[in-house]
Amino acid sequence: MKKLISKIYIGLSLSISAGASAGEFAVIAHESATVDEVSSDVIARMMLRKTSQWPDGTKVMPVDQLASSETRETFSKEMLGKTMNAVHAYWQQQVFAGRGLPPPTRESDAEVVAYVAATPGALGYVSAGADTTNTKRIPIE
Amino acid sequence: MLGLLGFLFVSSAFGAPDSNPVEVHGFGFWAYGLTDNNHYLLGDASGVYDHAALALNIAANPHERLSVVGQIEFENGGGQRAAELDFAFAQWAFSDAAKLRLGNIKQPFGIYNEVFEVGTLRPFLTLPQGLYGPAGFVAEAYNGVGVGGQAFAGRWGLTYDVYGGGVALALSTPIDMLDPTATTHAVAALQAPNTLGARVEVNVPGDAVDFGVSTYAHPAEEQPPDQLLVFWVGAAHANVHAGRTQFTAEYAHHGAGPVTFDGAYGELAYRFTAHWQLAARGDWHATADSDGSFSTAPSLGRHLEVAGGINYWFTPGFVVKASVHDVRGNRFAHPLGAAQLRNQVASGRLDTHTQLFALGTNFSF
Repeated sequence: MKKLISKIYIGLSLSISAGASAGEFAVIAHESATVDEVSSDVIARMMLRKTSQWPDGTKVMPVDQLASSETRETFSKEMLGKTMNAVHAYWQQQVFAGRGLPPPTRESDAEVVAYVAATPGALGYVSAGADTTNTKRIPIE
Repeated sequence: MLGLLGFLFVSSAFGAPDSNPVEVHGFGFWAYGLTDNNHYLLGDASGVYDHAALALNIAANPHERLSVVGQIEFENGGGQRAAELDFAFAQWAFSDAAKLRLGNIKQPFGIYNEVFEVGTLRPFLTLPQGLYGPAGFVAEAYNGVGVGGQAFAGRWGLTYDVYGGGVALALSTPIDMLDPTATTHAVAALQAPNTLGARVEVNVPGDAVDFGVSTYAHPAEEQPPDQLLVFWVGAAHANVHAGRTQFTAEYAHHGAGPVTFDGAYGELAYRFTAHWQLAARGDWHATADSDGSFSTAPSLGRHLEVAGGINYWFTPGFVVKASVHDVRGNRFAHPLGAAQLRNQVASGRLDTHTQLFALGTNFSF
């Protein structure tokens, strides 16, 4: 299974995907992340807690922006394929079925960057122009 | 209790500002119901105001692989008050593909069973009775052990659960009220102690379409002398979520024994603004009796409903709903008093047509 997942990350170009290159958001991970590029499907699974580990086995620690954030709305539509209402319904379903809890949220790009920089395994997103020092920008396949 | 929760901490909104050791979420509802004659769901002919409920969901992850979760519900309705445990279990995640669950666990069945009471996840105040009413199709939870997980192939996803244990199926049988010793109608819990079940769901790329099947089986409580009688339920569901439109459909069959039954519904909801939503539903339930037990009053085994509703969503966690329901049959719509029902059946005056108006709110956090 690991081999299969690893293939997703190997041999991919370093160009930024349509979603991320739209100039509206950037996906960031902890500096220690060993991946150079990730598909949008895998990012979606990680943010929705369907996939709990990075390919190297590190636990994924997703962090969201507030529900009122424009960046989150764009990210949800382009990466998760869901409206904010659908994302909210997804987490209601998970919580009240006892299947999982939503990621923590941060109120600004700076707070997301700070969380990601300080948390091994962290995965988040910020507006494209945000200062992402001490994190690793992850190009999207 | 609430003080204890407050002490532990409390994170309430979905996607709260901080990750806490314990999270508390909740949901509730209040509704008014008025019918033109029979009692049905939230209403009766004089109008019922007292249906309300509040549930609190508590979850924690004390270890990287361990999660514990429980839910309690306080309910008021029909002049009675009750507090009950919805579920309480521990889950150990071996991997995303294999998660072990032990305890009192929501029964994975169809689309709505795991979120049976959560009104902010559906377009009507009440669930379609053909499947989710007290017909013996579903239990809110099972007591036992289950294994579930998810697997992916490209952009396709597969979600699965298998479980075993005891369930208590919610069952109302108005036909039994014709027994001269019966006094009033009640929803009983049919115990099924050795149940095996499974649900498999396919997630189509894009997360806009899900479809799946559910099944479970258990030996009949009363066994015939020379054979093993096993009751079983099979069901299929589909859920399509495309922009402002949501369509949900399910079918289920309960087999074996002298009485078998089927249920199905289709539900369509459309958001015509960011806040306003229209909803429509067709709902059906039918009973087949090889022993002729329904021959005196066949309508007590039948249900055919058409409903329309309009909702105003203030936020995804707060909605006001109004709906009208037109019901043919008395499987779920009938007088509550057994003597009254017997008299109406005997005199041929049982009204097989019931109309319900429902108004209320659902909320969650």
